[in-house]
Parts: sequence; C-alpha cells; structure tokens
Amino acid sequence: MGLADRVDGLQVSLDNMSDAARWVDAVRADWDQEVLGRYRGQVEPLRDGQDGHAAAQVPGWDNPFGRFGEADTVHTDVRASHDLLHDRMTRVSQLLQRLGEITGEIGDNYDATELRNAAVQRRVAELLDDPVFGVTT
Amino acid sequence: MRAAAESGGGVPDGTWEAAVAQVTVAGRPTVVYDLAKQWQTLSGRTADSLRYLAKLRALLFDGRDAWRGPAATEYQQVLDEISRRIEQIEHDSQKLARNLDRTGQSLSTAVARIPVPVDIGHDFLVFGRTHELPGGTDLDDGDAMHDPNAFVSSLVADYRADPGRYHDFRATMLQSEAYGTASGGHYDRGPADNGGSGSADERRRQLVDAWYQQNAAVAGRAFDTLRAAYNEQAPGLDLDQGALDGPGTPATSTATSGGVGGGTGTPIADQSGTGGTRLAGGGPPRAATPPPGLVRAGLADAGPGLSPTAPLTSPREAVLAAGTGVPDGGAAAAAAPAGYGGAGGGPRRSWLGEEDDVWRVELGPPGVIE
Repeated sequence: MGLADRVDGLQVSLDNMSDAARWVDAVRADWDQEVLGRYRGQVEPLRDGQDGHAAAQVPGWDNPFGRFGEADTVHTDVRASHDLLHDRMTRVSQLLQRLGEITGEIGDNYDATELRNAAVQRRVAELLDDPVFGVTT
Repeated sequence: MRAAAESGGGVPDGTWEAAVAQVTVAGRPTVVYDLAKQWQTLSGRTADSLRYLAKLRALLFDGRDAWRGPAATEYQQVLDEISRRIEQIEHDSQKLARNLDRTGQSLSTAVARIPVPVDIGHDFLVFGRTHELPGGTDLDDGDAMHDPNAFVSSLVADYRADPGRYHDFRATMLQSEAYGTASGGHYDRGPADNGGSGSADERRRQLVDAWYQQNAAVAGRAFDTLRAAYNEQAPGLDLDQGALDGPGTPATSTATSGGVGGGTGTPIADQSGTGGTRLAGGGPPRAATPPPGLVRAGLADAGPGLSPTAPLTSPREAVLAAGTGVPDGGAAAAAAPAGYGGAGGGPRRSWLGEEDDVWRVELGPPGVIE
C-alpha cells in the first residue's frame, strides 16, 4: 500500500485534527515499511555478506570487501555508517509516532474545547431565555 | 586489524597467494554493488514521506482557515525538523551509495587483475583441455568456464577443501603429478636440451619461477592498488567522520564507467600505471610483457549482478610455449592470447560462450599441445 492510499479520504483541517493525526500515522507506517523495513530486510543482510555468494556460506567470512586489514577497516566504517543511518531512520520513526500522538491529543483537546464552548453557549442561551433574568420579550 | 594468519589462512601477507585468497576468493564485488544499489533505492523511498509531510503542512497552515498562534508555530517547527532529518538521511544514503559503488569498482578491478593459477591439461579420452584449480577442482565440470558466478563458487569450494594448496602456487604446480607427466615429454624438445644451460628439470623450474614471479608481480600490484584505494575510500564510507563526499565521487551506480576497462589479453595492464585494461585492438599495444601462461583475460566491468571474471594463468602453458624453442622472455608472448577479447572496440561484457571459445586462439605451434 502506497502512502497515497494510506491518506486517501482523510480530511485534514484545524477542525479535523484527528484526520491530521491519522495522516501523520500514515507517513510513519510508510516510513517503517519502505525505509526502515527495506533497510532491515535488504540492506542490513548485505552489510554482513549474507548473500548468495559462495563465500557467504563460509563461517566467519562476513566481510564482502575481502579478508585483509584494509578490507576490515572499510567494513568497520561501512558498518558504522549503517548503524548511524539506521539510528537516524529509527529516530525519524519515533518522532513521527510522537507527532502523531501529539496531533491526536491536539485533536482531542480541540474537540473537547469545542464541546465546552457549545455547552457554554447553550447555558448562555438558557440564561437569556430565563424569565427571571427579565430580558426576554 | 586482522592478523595475516587469520585473514589469509596462514598465507604470508603481500604475496600472490594472499591476493588470491584474501581478494579473489573472499571478496564479493557483486555484494558491494548490491549494497550501493540498495542504498540508492532506499534514498529514493524517503521522497514520499517528505512530500506528504509538506502536504500536511500546507493543509494546516496555508489558506484562510489556517492554524495560527504559538502552538501552530511550535507544530510547524516540529514538522520542519522531521523533514530536515529525512532530507539528511536521503542525502547521506545517496553519498554512501556512490562511495560504495567506487569501492565495488576497486574490488572488481582487483579481482579482474589478480591471476588465478590453473593447471591446464589434456584429456585424451574426450580430446579436450582440462582446467584444474590448485586444490584439484575441475573447472570443466559444470559451468565454471562459462559462468563467472559458477567459477567463483568452484574457486571458493576449492580453497575451502584444501587451503594448503593455496600457500605456495609454485610448489603446488610443480608437485602436480598430472603436470609433470603430461608436460615432461615436451621438455626434451625445449631449449634446455637444445644448447641451453642445465637439465630439462632445471629449465622447467626456471620457467615456472619466471611464470610465478611475473604473475606474482601482477597480483601484488593489483593488491597494492586495492589497499591504497581502500585506504583512500574508508573515511568516505564512515558517516561519523563527516567525510562522506569522497574525492572524485562518480555519480554512477554501475562499474561501467572509465578506469575499470574491459576484457583484455592480459591483466598486466596496470604495469603502465594508468589503470584500466584494454581490448586487444582497442588501443595502442602496451610494451609490458604479459605473464607467461596467462590464458584468459579478466573482466572488471561486469557491473552489479555479475561477478568480475578473474584471469587464469597456467604454468604448463608457459613451459610448453618455451619448450617450442621460444627464447627466454618470449614465452609469454607465445602463451598469451593477445587477440583474445574480441577485435571490436567495445569491452566484453559476457563470460565465455561456446561461440567464442578462447581455445580457438592458438597458444603455440601445432604439435606442442596436441
């Protein structure tokens, strides 16, 4: 499912922050699948030489760059970059999740405020209609 | 850093044997290319997230009914920060992909230049040549002579079966019973028995020594070049060092661009110091003398999905060629198929096919082999 499908039908506006929260959740789900998921499923195994190559079947031969000192250095550096990018991708996912939660809370607060405002409005209207208040015609 | 004894199965560092064991057998250029490709693809997958966060921003903060106030400002800042982080991931992923591609090219080039010794014999029953790796694996079984991936599988299996046979190619080849039996008769007609100094055995050892030294030199140069490339490229592969922009980083995702070169008559091309190999007929001939017994060219520009092809070299070919009376130093010229690789201008992009059998190139006068 693409991101376009995930947000299809959502009506984002200040009056509908719940849909905004769903929108953010959709972005996170897509990120987790297309970016993080692709990393974990297809990039990370290659990093450690897990592939169809004959040498990959040899225990301890997890370095696709070769088996000498400089190759080990390159492999170490590549692994470090992989770890760093993986951390960043995970962090983005966490931020999107938190943003979705906050957006949902904003939507809930907005709806609650709207309900309170409506209640106040009703009470004011009732007060205005009260004969004791003596304003009605 | 891994000790040589661990990394190369006891093979002394810097030798031809080390180059074969540590680079050709263990290196996987296709995996490095795949890694580069995956990072390139992954970087493209971040675009949707950026686009839909921008849409969300527009829906909430643009137009007449836009959300305004301090909370709105804070919310926009959070959106911007997430987008900035995604852009950084996209950016760094692309650079990592490009630098990995360079590393893959370096490894691919090294594999295509480091000769792999084979013992080429003759099977009189099937009236055809036989090709054995140092450990005795017959390359003629299966597709190893036609499919680079199958060749690599055979090479790895051969190495694993008996790593000791990869400790000293010269000794391994000289100790080969089949080698001695099949080639012995030809030495009697060689230069050693035609006025040259020493016995036929001594002459044979001299020729094998020359074969070994020249191929070892080619392998050593290729290995050194790879080490230097790795030393240069390693910082560019480490994001933590903040130097992901490697010098001269190409924007290609394949190994088909310059420097790597195509098939050639020999892998000795880097003797010129310019790097890259050429097709026979594709440019001016090199002055360098090819290693004796070198029978098939390597190919580095196979690109993602294909293994580079390692050049093969046979001491028997060197000795037999010399046995025809070719003077010292000329054995190589007789043994190396300078015309192999195609007479056209473009690089070879395929492994040997039935229609372009390298053995159609005569390695010596008729009667020497047959």
